[in-house]
Amino acid sequence: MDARELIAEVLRKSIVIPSSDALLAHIDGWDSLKGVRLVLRMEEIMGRELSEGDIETLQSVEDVDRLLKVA
Amino acid sequence: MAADVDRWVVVSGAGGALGAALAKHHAEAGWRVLALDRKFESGGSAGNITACTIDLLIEAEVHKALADHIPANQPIALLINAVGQIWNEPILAMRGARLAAHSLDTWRTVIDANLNAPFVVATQVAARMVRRGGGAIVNFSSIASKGNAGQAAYSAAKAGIEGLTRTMAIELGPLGVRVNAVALGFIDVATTKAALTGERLQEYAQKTPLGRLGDVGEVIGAIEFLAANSFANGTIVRLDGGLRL
Repeated sequence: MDARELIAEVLRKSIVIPSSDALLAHIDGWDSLKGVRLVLRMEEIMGRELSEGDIETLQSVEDVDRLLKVA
Repeated sequence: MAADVDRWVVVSGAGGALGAALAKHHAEAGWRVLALDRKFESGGSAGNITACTIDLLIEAEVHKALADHIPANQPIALLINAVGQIWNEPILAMRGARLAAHSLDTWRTVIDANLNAPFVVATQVAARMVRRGGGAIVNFSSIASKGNAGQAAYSAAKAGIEGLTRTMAIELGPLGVRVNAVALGFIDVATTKAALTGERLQEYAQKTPLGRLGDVGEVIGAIEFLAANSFANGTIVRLDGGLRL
């Protein structure tokens, strides 16, 4: 699963993301609850808890992709 | 909800008469129970129950109690958030020749016991539940949440619990945690008897269409319904024998 699919799943709707450096906070419908759901879903996919350091770096779509690729 | 030895039930306020009975019931049903309270006048560690004496208003203490006693790989299936304290104090009262207002100190104490402590426990347990496959939380409200003469602080706290329950249900439902509450009327337990005179309790029993107080088994039944019904979320179950109809 890539970042765009994952973000769409978290938002429960299909979305158009203009560029990979788009900030999650700027995506239509994004809020803190979606942030929590993103972290929990990523932990499920990656099979481990994300560290506070990992979570702090999750600002943009490409940050999500980068972390998913480390898994 | 069937008992599972690797899944836990956490009971806050387990040192009081009702909380101790709830902890005992779930332990006897085969659950592992973590019983939390700042002191244990009833109950305590026994069999499947691990009792932990902590200040429920301190997030770090609640977090540590959960981490120390429940292994990281074992989920919490249910939080019975029974911590609370009945308090009777009118807004205004004559103290001798003086017209005295409700004390701010006691207001704060009652809000701490009935709203802030359940908030701390619920949020700390929820943070753990969302990472371990979800769970169910049952908060404790009261029929006083609609207003009750002589119980301003208690009523305000319980109304707060209902708002908290609904908001948690909305926020945590998508994360697999269901949050509901029971709003109790007058239950035949030691804490109720300690808070009200026998005469007053008799009066409430007579006003209740069923003509009696509730019993602990009936409270357990309501909790078990909310814990087991996977579509119950944000529900406040009033259990008062029809007193407030």
